[in-house]
Amino acid sequence: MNRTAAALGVAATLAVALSAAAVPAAAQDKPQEKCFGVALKGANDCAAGAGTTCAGTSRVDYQGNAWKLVPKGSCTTMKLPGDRMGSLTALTRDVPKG
Amino acid sequence: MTRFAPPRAATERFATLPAIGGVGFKPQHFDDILADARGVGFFEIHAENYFGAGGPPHRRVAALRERFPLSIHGVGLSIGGAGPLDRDHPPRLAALVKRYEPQSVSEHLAWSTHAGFGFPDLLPLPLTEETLARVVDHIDETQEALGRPMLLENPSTYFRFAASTIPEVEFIAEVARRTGCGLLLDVANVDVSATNHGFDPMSYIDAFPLDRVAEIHLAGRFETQDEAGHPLFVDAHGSPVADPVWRLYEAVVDRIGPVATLIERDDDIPAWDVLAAEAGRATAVLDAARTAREAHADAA
Amino acid sequence: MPLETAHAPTEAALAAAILDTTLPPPAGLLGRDGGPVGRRFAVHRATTTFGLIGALATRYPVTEKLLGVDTFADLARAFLAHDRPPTALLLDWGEALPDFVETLDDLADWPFLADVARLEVAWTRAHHAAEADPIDLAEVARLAPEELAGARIALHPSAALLASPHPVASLWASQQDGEDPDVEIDWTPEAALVVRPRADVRVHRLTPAAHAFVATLAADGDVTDAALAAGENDSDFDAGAHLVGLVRLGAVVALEASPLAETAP
Repeated sequence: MNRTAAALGVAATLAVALSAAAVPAAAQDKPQEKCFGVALKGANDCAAGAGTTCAGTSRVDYQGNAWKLVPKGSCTTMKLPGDRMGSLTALTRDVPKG
Repeated sequence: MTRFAPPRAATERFATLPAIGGVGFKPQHFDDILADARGVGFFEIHAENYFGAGGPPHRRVAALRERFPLSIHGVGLSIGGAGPLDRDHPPRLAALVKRYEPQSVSEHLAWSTHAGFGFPDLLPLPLTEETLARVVDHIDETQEALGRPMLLENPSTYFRFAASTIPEVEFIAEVARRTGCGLLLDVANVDVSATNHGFDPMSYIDAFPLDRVAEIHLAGRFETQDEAGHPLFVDAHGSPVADPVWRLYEAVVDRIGPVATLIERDDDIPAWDVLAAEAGRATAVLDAARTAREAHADAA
Repeated sequence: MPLETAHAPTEAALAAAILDTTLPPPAGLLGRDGGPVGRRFAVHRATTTFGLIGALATRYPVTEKLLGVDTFADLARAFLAHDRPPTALLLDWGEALPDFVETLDDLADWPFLADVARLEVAWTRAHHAAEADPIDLAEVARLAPEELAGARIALHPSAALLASPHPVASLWASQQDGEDPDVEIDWTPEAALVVRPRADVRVHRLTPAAHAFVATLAADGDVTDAALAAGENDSDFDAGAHLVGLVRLGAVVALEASPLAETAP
């Protein structure tokens, strides 16, 4: 496609999208959330330091040698396939988080 | 007989935390803390958890700092290490201190980095003239980067070094004298080390340079035994402060008067109320000491 | 001044015996009354090992959930033989785990796991990223559509893109608290946009075309470049709706217009 023609096409879709977007509606655009964020695992809030920061300080019997990975987690029950995904809506839809 | 130390104002050049109970901050307690933190006088954070640029960790600490005095407690500087300090660490710590202007900044007499390997632990060092000089250099470098005095915390240890030539208390006192740093007296560490090595914790306290103590730590321990059947206490921070440690703490406060006292809890973390109550118990000990001192002053 | 003091060899010996649990504790350590030091030394081995495993589990909660706690600990232990933190500062350590996962024969039946772990890397980075204020739609609407077609954007400093041949965002989402971990997943390629516009990190699922659009913008292409790239994946791609969508997510912190005449060939 010719770039100028493409740009005109893009401009047309932008005009439609912006008129449909109820500009400015800034307040509604802000997702509902606490201003300090949720405290959840993955936040890496206990992992930075030394000695007394994470679990395990009370375990003295660790020797740690042989291992073999035999997964027993939730993956083993995972099913597929399904129908979850649209195209255009994908970008504006939040994946839920913990 | 009670021996009174110099007025606590003497320690204000090291740290200016209020002499009440505080709690180590955990993000999961944030909402509860904002709702009700009665009886809790300050919070402490582990510095390295806040070496990131922004996000929820900093949003929470900024909000805490608006409401409470703050202590920044480093756990990874490796002051006791044989090699030089990591080049980036003191400036990053200094930037955090500048950002929050805490009432106290502290680190450990321990090492955690060796020749390109980092250990999430506080590892012990032999106590000799040479390690003393190295520790002094590292604290000088840190205080220079911070532009203020820091507190050095006494360690908990599980074994001794045959090569050590200086008793721990003398080592710490000399480091403090040469660097001008203040001290953080971890009473639970004294109890852990005293148990593990079989010495009297009160004799350690008696010899400690108490006039430099600007903060106290209390924490729970894990109790096990070594191969010979001797008790082995681990500084685990995963349970409430044990009763013998409370008694030792009361004796310390009786000696030196009210000092900011932190409840450390880093594993098996309970609900906020539980930790707030432990801090409240420390506050009660401090209040009793304050009252006794005032009564003594009135009588004099 | 010499680099090492007299006790440096002892420090090296201590470090070696913590790293290699088959070694005995170094000589020169004393237990109580000169007694045994084995269990005393083991405290430091345990603290170090479980501290590092715990740090990885904290950084990779979904990977841990998918594998199970015990298997994840085994994986973490294996990783430690391959990668250790260079200092005690763990905030930046552990990002090599996804690449390591891909090398393991034991996990060959789980080809999606490395990309799920990569999404978790992006999540943690976004969590700690610098603050920046996203622009709102009013700022977009100030420009004429023709100007916007030649505009460039700056993504939020927390933003990261990840494209995968696996349904990486759906897999990640299915393991979040409150979700059904056994939900049926459409087993198609997915991309994810991770961004923290304010306090919370958000993970968005992208189609391959939407990914091409955002990736082109992230690489400093203009909106028309991005639309052309997306069009190669999806001839019906709606660039306007996606630019508006991107702004509404809070993923854009600056928008720079340039007249069409200057950017068109």
